[in-house]
Amino acid sequence: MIRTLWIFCLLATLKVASNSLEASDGASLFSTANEAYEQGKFQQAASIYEQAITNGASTATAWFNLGNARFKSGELGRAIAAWRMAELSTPRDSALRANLAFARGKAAGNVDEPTPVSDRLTRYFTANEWIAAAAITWWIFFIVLAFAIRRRPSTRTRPGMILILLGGACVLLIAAAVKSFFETYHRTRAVVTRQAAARFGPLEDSQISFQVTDGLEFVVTDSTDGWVQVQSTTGKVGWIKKGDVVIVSLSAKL
Amino acid sequence: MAVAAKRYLRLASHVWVWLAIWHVLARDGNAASVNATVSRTIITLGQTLTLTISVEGAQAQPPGLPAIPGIQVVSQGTSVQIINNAVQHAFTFELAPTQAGDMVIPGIPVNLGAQVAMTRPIQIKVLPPGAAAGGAPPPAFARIVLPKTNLYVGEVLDMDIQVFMQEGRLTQYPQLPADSGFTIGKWLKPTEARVAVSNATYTLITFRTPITAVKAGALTVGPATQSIIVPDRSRPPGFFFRNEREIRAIGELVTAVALPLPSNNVPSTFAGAVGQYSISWSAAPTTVAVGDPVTVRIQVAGRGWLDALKLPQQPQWRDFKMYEPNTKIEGSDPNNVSGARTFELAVVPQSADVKALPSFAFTYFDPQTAQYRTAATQPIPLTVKPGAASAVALPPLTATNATEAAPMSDIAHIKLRLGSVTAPLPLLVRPWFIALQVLAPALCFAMFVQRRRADALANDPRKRRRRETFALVQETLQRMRENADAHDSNAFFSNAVRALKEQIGERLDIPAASVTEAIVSERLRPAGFPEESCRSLEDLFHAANLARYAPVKSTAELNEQLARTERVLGELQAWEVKL
Repeated sequence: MIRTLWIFCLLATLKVASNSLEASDGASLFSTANEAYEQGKFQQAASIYEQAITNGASTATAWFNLGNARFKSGELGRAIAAWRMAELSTPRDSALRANLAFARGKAAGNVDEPTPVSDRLTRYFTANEWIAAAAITWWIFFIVLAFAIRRRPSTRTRPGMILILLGGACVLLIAAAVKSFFETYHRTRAVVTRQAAARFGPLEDSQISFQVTDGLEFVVTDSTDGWVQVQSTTGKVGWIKKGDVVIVSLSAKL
Repeated sequence: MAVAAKRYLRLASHVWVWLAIWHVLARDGNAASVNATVSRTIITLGQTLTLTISVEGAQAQPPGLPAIPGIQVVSQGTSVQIINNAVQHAFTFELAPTQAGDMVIPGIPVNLGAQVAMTRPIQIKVLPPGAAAGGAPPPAFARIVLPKTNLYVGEVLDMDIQVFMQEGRLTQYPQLPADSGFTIGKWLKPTEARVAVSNATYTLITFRTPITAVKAGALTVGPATQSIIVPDRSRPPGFFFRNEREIRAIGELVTAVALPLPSNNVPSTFAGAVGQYSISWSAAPTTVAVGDPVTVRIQVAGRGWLDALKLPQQPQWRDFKMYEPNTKIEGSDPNNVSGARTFELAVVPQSADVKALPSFAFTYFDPQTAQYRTAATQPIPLTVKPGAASAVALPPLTATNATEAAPMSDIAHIKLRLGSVTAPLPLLVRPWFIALQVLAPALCFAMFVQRRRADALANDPRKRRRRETFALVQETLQRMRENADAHDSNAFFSNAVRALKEQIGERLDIPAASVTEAIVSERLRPAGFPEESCRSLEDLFHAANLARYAPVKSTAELNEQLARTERVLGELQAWEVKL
């Protein structure tokens, strides 16, 4: 029993140490990338930021700075993709929102479609924030319910208004959490990195449906060898070569 | 007379001495000699000759050869010999002529230390390739062949380099000097043939490549140098390998004149194409709305540098927005000099008034006719419908409705603090989170079930009494055990009677206090309680009565009574009485 406990402690220590080591590698690369950025070496800085993220420094700040480096290198689409990754964990960051708005304004053909209130609300908080809020309301609801069960004269008595309101709030928060979770972890998006043609089918000979330019964002609805099917906010659907877009998705992490 | 003779002799001896001295001095000053010779004065283009500068009687620096037009230095060397107590230095230069004709190797200055000596000029004759010098045909020679020497800038010509060799093998393609004013393409696969030249049989290997002049004026291509490995018969054959040596076949340079393209009346649809071309095109779909793209495919086929082709501007396409085209080349040779290049581009009609795709004009310069030619396509009819949503004109900004917000001119700067690592997994997929959320309704449900049971008990007195009686009986039996251990007979039997009365009262739904020994025969036996159990009950009551007067001291007896009491109580609890 004691030996098992020792082995467990040793393994846990090793795991923590390796995590720390990986994080310190990423932190030093992050600092190096910042220096390169300040010196105006944006391409180099972008490359080092990517290395830092791969080596444990996967933070919203690292993604944000990567987006800046890409933008300064003239890669509008890749910059937007990196900022979208940062937005998944810090959606209310004012600098991030400003940069995204600035870049989207530069993307040719970007139509400023009005976003539904529900979408704006769900994007204002992260998926985990919505889930936590729903969980807290869930617990409050059941605690109040348990109290009511214990105190009321009979189990057949109708529930009080507080319970109804709490239940409604719980349902709404759960819905928001599920929507946010789906949007964050199951919705794949694509950001165009260079001017290309969206075709009706995943073939070179297919007719062109519409033209896309660097920085435009789409939702990915399907994919096949070398091609992704995208849909714009206006409902246009077309197939674009995978080499012309950057995929933004957290579904691989699940 | 004798005196005169003596005076004469004295004078002669003086003169003789001075002459001897002068002779010695003069002889020492003229001891160094410089000589230049060539191995042969008549050679064939493609062969080499050796120039030897020999210096005797002096220490000499290796001379530097001046640039000799039409002759290039292949190699040089130095040797020293001692002959008849004299040291002779020999400086050798292997020379290769690059063109046929009469040439002069000029005098070459040689630095002897105290003085500079000049060699005498040497005349040599270089015969054209194929011509035998001194009767023997050359082992190999080369030739550059151009179909014409007057060409236009950008015009593609096929250049052949013909290599004639009696024997040997080639290890590389011909070498040409760079920066000749021509762009030279990739070598095509060489062809081979056997030919007879000057009574000798040669293997003719032809190398072909396209060339094009990149600037106007007199340009030279060549000389072409081809390295050939031949057997070396001057040495005895080796045991495993035969001896070989390298020779060079040199193709004389060729001068061509590149003419500039005419600058008068150049069509606006000319984008630099030189050659012979034809054009065809297609477009789809032909029924679109304003803003929807039409895919246009333009194919330019013919002969010329297809890689350099560009689509010219089309001034009549002002009603269309055009995007950068994708291109594909289908060349029939490795240099893409002939074949077709296809341009695919998207054009977007900007107005519903557009009725057709205008003709596409492609202008090229034809070197054969020395004229600009324009190939044009037929217009393609289009049906352009108005767009789905017309743009609404925004009200102009005035001082009253203009906002004060200053637009961003650049992105926000980077952040310097790394921050914490974002959680890779959402809460919803973490097992502990799921378990925690399941706990809340589970606890609530448990509480609900308990409340329901309490309510059920409250509404069923008999059930409640049964539970209470059961608890009481269990408690009483525990006390009886303690009484038995303590040899307390009175308490033991008192508890036993109490337990029996409570249980019988619960079963018969009568107060426990009204239960007596007679209840066994009055109510239990008629109600169907088993006879043996009835007798056990009667015995227990009887034993309890007796114990009042004669207490049971023995623990074993008490335990026996306890077991009998437990058994009867169990039978009563299991008995379903029909009231």
